[in-house]
Amino acid sequence: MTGRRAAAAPGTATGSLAIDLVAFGLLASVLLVSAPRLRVYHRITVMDVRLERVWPDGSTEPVEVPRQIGSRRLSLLSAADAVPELSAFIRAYAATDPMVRDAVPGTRFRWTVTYGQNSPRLDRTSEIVIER
Amino acid sequence: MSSQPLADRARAFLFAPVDPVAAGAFRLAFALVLVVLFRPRVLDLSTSHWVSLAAAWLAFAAGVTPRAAGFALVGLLLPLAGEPGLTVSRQVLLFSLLAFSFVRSGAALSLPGGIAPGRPAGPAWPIRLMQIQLSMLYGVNALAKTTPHFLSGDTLVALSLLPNFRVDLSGGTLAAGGLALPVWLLAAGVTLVEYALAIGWWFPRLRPATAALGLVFHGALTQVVNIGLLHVASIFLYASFLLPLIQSVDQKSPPAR
Repeated sequence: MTGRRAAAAPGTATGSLAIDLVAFGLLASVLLVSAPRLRVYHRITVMDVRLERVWPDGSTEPVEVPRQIGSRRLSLLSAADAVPELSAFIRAYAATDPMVRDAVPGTRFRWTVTYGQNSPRLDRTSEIVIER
Repeated sequence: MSSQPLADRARAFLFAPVDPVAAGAFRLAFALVLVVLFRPRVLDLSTSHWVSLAAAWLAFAAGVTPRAAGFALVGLLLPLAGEPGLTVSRQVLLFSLLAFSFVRSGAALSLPGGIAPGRPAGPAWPIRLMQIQLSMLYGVNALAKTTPHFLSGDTLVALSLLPNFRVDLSGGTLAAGGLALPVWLLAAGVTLVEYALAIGWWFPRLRPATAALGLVFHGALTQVVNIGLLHVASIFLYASFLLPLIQSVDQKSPPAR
């Protein structure tokens, strides 16, 4: 068989038609499964965090949001995922925070997350209360 | 052509021969793009890893055992795939490299010592995988944007708060060339263009126009948002459609006398 004839009647990549088809199928499956990872930007959750100390007598006092948490947060997750993720982060942070640890028993720390999904309008609220 | 049985059409789609010269040219371009996309941080690797990578890259670029070198490169570059900000572009290129490694790209434009010149470069299916990936790259993003929120422009306004956005869309418009484009028009336009770039390649007559649209789209996008090197990875894959990589099975050579 000449080179020209070989080009007109091409062979396979692996030497076997069956193995070629399996390889194509496997790689096509990988492509399909990994397709969601190809997304770049299409959604965002904008979150604003505020923190208040509630003394045992019920009086409140605004507290600066720790730098590690930040008062403005942006996430490329949906709000359904981003807000619980932030809540878990706040709880983990508060568990070791000296401000909570050294607070008078009965003191509560009220974290208020206002957020908007796919919009800068922060029209939804989620509250996390951590009690000493 | 429409009466051609489906099995024959599938066979032609997957097993049409690859042009050895075009495959060699694609391999050389691929080697350059790999340097552009993976050069940052490559020197952070261990010496043995770095040396293996350089050896595999040289063998791939030179077309000496390019298939083995290509598969080795995929394995050696995999640890760098998760680089923040470059994940998508590197994922795209590594998958393409994996597919392209099945092509006998050393049959032309290679140093002596590899595949004998004139040998067929193999079937089209590895190239088809790269083409499908390019379509999916645009298609997945277009589909994800086809939501009322995105098309209304609200999502883009919020996204423009991200530090890698270069424009302020908070006023609901984008200033471009003395015009104030409403954000909803921008959002709808981006989505429509991505659909066109996902589909247009599959119509041979539309390929030049699709390529031009893609270049304009990516050029404009760089002014709006920094998406790392995804522009480079995407535009490089245009070559999988634009180069005459896949020969028509109808173009039969005259029988050898």
